[in-house]
Amino acid sequence: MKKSIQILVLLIIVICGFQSCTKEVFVEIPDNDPKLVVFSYLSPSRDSIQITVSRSVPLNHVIDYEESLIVSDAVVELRAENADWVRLLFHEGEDVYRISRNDFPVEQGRKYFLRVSANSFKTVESSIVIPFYSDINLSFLKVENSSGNGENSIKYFLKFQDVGGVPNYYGFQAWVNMYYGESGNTGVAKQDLYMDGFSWVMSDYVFDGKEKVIAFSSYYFGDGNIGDTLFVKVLQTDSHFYHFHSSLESFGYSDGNPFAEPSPIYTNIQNGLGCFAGYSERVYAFPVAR
Amino acid sequence: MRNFLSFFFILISFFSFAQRRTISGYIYEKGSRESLVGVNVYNPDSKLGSTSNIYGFYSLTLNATDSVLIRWSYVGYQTVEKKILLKENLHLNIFLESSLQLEEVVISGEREQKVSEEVRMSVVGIKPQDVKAIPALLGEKDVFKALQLMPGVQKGTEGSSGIYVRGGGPDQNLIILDEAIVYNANHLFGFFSIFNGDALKSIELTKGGFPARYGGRLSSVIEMTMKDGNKQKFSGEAGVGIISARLLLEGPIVKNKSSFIISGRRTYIDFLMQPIIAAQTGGSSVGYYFYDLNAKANYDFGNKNKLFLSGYFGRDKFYMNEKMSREDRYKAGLFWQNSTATLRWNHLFHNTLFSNASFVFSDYTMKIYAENKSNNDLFSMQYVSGINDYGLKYDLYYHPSPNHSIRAGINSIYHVFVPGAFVLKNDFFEDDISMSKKEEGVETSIYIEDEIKTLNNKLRLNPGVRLTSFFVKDQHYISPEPRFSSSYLIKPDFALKASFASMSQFLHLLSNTGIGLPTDLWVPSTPNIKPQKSWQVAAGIGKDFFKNDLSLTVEGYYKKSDHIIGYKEGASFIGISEPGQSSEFNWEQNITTGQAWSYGLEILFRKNSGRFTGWVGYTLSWTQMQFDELNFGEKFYARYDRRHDISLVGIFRLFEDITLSGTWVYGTGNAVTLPKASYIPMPYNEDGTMSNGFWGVVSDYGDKNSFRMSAYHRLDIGLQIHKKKKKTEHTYEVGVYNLYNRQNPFFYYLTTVDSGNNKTKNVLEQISIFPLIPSLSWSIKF
Repeated sequence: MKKSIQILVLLIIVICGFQSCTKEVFVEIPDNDPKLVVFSYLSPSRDSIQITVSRSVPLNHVIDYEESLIVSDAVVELRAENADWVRLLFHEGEDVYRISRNDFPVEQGRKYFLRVSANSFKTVESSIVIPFYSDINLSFLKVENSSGNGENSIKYFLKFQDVGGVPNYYGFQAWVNMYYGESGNTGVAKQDLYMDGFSWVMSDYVFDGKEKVIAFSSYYFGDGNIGDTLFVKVLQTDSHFYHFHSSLESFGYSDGNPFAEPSPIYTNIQNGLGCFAGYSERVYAFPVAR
Repeated sequence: MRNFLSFFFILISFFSFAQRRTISGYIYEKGSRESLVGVNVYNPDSKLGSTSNIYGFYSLTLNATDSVLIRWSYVGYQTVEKKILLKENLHLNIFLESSLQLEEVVISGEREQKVSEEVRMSVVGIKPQDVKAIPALLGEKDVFKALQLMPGVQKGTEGSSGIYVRGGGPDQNLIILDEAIVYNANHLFGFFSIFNGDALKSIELTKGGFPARYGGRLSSVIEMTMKDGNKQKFSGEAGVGIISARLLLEGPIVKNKSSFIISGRRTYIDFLMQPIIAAQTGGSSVGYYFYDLNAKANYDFGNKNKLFLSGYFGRDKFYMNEKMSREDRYKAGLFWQNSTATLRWNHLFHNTLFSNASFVFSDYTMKIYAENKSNNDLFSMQYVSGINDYGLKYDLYYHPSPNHSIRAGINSIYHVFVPGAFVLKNDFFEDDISMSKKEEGVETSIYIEDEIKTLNNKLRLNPGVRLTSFFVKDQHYISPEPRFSSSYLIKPDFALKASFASMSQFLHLLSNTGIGLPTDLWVPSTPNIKPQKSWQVAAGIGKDFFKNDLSLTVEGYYKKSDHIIGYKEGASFIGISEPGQSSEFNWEQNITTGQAWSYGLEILFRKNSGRFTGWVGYTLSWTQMQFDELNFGEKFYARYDRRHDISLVGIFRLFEDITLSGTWVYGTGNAVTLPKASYIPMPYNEDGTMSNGFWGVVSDYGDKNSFRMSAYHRLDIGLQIHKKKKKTEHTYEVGVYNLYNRQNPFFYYLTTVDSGNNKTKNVLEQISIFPLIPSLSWSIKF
């Protein structure tokens, strides 16, 4: 988890300075009921639909580390707009509720509803619309290499054109193949690249209708040969996907940081927690001359 | 220019008020020649009057007559009455003698002018000598702590001297010391303010109904004036308390013409502890200190011209130095400091026309640093933020008739902002990091206002308008701000009041909700961040009970604010996570804007004189906010939203030389954000599946600021014994802060405790500071 640069020594000085004046008082934690926690991401490109169902642990409840939080006896149902409810079955070992694409196809532009109920919990519901994938003219710009201290770094620059006039949400992932061995062909591994900036998901709020440049970087050691193809997966997501993942990252920055604002995590699960979202995706491959 | 202005105003006066004569002059304290602010100047026959301005100048225009009785009166001073021949305009300086009767030295928030007669509402004035009578934390008399005892004014956390006025945050208070703006008024993280009451002459807080001469902040104006210094003889005061010692020296430079005053204060515990710490830790040093220094000099060139030069310098510093060996050393620290300087020229064009021109400088700097040197490898980090002001002001006071007091002026401030300058040097990194942002803005305002008395002096109006412009980064903001206040005397002791004020604020304070270090950043409005704006209406009554010198004010208010700013969720004042991201650091990306609603009712019931004086203050209020990017766009209560706020203050003169005092305060707890539950997130995984990855367990916070801390209340008492000797006067004071040892909340934190059988339980703990704390202090006047 990323952590900000902290001025901990000053925090220690402050706390030490007031140790003689502090007194601890136990405060009653307000009671609230556990909730169902539901996650699922629908996409036409997936072979099956997976839904995880667990429970939250209220602050004033005892936490039993031997007890699983997974709820395996819930009634988990999906339906498409103007269609009937379809129940998903729980798969032991994977701890998910699953249904195959053949039994429940997912289509762009269509609305889907989710409903989960379990004993001792309020029934939770949610609904989404799978976004269409719009052509964004993703193109490769350039690559930069640098090396030093036996370590190499590489940075790829690309650009795309946002479709203006409507809110758009994106997720980007990129990777290359790394070849290891004396001849360079002994072994191959997938090398994930890091996206420059604070998050791998973004909203077009600031660059609506404009061109946007993005970059991916990686460090690798001298005995590896980086492949000459850059793979980029572009997700075009709904707002729920974006808000959940960006708020989760904000939570990560603030958690344990006394200088940061508490950061709530987004949810679109009515009466519960979690995220039910949709996306469409496309994978690009760019030959890179280095 | 001067001659033109004089001719212009004299011409208007001549044609409009041909039979009027004006009596004007300066009002001083007898002995020291300290100018007196807010002295009531009154003619009983016509029931017309005026008050002296902050430079001690007064002007009263009446019908020409053979003989007229004028009364000059001021709380704590003997009233002067004179029968005057008023056939010509008259310049008359008045000297008021301090009252020898201690029962007249009342703890009062107002001048002798009755609340029903004052056209302005939502104003509180406190005399520095009154502040000295109220018991205080560790015996440190504090101006802001005294202001917090007034209705409509709330404190932040336990022990804090922060001021929250009618739902506004601490950045929405314009704090002025001799016309210079002070940006961070806190010593020791807000436990004490930087203002040494020994050096102050007047303190006034305006919460609403702002006259047009004030602007730049949404919620309040706290205007403080330094003493000028004794023009007749050298004198001084010294005092020692539990944490600090102070000294004041004043005296003439040229007798009756020029004087100086210097007042300083410093903590001394670090001096005492340093040798012990060094002995225990093998030469290391760790400590904290603060100091402040006020200085002023002035020269009287006669009745028409006076020159003043004043300044303030103060600093707080935490430090830690450790030297392990010749090659290994470590040091870290945090300091913040304020500096102000004001050069003022008073000029009297005419007995009805007074002017003041000022050059003003102000600086606030905060710095955090850490350095670790180990075996020739150096890690060094430094973060600096602050703001500088360079300003020019020109104000005119015009009294053409008893029914009109006109004020007009212009002022311009050049602001230089450093919202964050970060330098990191690390021998393990290939590149050092240096990042600095500096922004500039020019804020210019013109204003005009008139205090009008009509309907046989029963109806008083104070209309005005202020026009402010702000230039920053090729962006120009212009803000017209209409102002209006009124008072109608239904009976001689009972008035109805109403006011309206539109305010703009072009500077913003980014305040983190963390642990209260002075990491707050002052930033300007920009093309992306609009100025904050508010409008406020207030209505109320003022009732005097002359027989027992009691007064009652009841006010209701409603305030709407727009474009207020706050940190985004997850943002921090140092907004970078990794060195590689430092080039993208921009404070504008860390903040978001929203709106706020504040409304409430304030009641103040006060006894102003007699052996027993004091007041009861009660505030019922609500403050809510809404930001599109916070709390998922839903409204939430402000952290300092306090439903009920009660203050009881009493000062009892037990005997001639013994004074007993006490305060009791109560406030609803602050609104904070606490987690409600924890759960396991399952974000999108790169292969299209879901995976918890490295997230572990996260918190469900629920609605922002939905949890209320415990209510705050405490009782303080103080006993003062005054001993007058031949050439000195000693005061011994013993006090107790938090007499019944209430564990008031400072902050909450979550921890886990073992419940056995591989189970844990969350526990919410409250940290309280300041239990029952006695204090002793001694002071001497010579």
